[in-house]
Amino acid sequence: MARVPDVSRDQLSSEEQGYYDEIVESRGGIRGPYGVMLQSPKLAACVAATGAYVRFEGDMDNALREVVVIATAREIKSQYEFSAHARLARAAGVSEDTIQRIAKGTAPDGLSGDESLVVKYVQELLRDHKISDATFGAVKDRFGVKGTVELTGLIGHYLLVGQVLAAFAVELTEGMVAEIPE
Amino acid sequence: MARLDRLAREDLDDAGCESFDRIVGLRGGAGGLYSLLLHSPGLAELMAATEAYVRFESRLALTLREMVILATAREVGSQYEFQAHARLARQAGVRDDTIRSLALGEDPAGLSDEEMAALLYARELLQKGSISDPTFKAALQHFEPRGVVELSVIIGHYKMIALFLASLDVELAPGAVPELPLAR
Repeated sequence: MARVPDVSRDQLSSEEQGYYDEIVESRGGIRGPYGVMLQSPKLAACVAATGAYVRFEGDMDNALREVVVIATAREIKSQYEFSAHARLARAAGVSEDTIQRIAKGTAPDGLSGDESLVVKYVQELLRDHKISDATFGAVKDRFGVKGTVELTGLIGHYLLVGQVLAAFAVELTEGMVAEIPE
Repeated sequence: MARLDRLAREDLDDAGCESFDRIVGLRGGAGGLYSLLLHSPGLAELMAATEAYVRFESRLALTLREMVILATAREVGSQYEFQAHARLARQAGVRDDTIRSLALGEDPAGLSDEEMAALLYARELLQKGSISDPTFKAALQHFEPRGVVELSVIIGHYKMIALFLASLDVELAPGAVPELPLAR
């Protein structure tokens, strides 16, 4: 059961509808945590803008970004986030093998190159709340300084989104499949 | 000390300067963590916008917000974030014994029901990654849906900040006393 109702556009003041429309424009619709986040429309727009940036701006390959997102979702066991982004990962060309390894929690075993590196970064950051010199150095060498900051932002954003989904018990919608083994 | 060079306005290109100026407009400055986030000016600006909303437009009271941020810093083990917000909390009138309790992860004495509800919500979300029905219900009673959304986003945002600080290995200023117990 949804804990808080989604907000519809006609419930908002005209100023707040501006934020609603911004979110729709950057994302294509109101899905996931945004229906509920629109209870605070301007803040929802801030979060959506950060989300648009970490997903679409910067230099990281989109497929690799989705690997980061599903790895983040797996760390916080967000079925919704994993399901939504596994679909995007497949569409971007991430292999089924990679997705399954991340879903099962065995990654980075069996992963290589960039995928292995970013999954290690996600896991260290979210499990230890720090990053070793070796991992930071490897990420910085590979993605540069800007890319490293943006990678951290990508993880942080999807951590925030996953937490909101969890707090409001947002359920999988029709067509979404739980992929993290319970 | 940090893992990246700190950037000032003169280090940035034109687009970066525009972001810098917007960040200063939003939060009064672009120092501290922002001098490091400016390696991605676009991202830094968006973080500043969220922070500005939380500080200036959120429905939640200042002292309550600072306590939630301290609880978040404690759960993520961020000495830097804890110290920065302990100072802000003190300025806002939060008592020293409250701050000490928050550093230890204990329940401070003398909090209002509303403050305790927010603190329990933050701890549960950060420790368990979920919120039980009673904790959610209590939060909803005090804060209504909008306030619970803001509370949830504040916790997420300041965890994100703490993770930036950790990844960039931002240390306390020389001579600063750590407020979180070391080696948990």
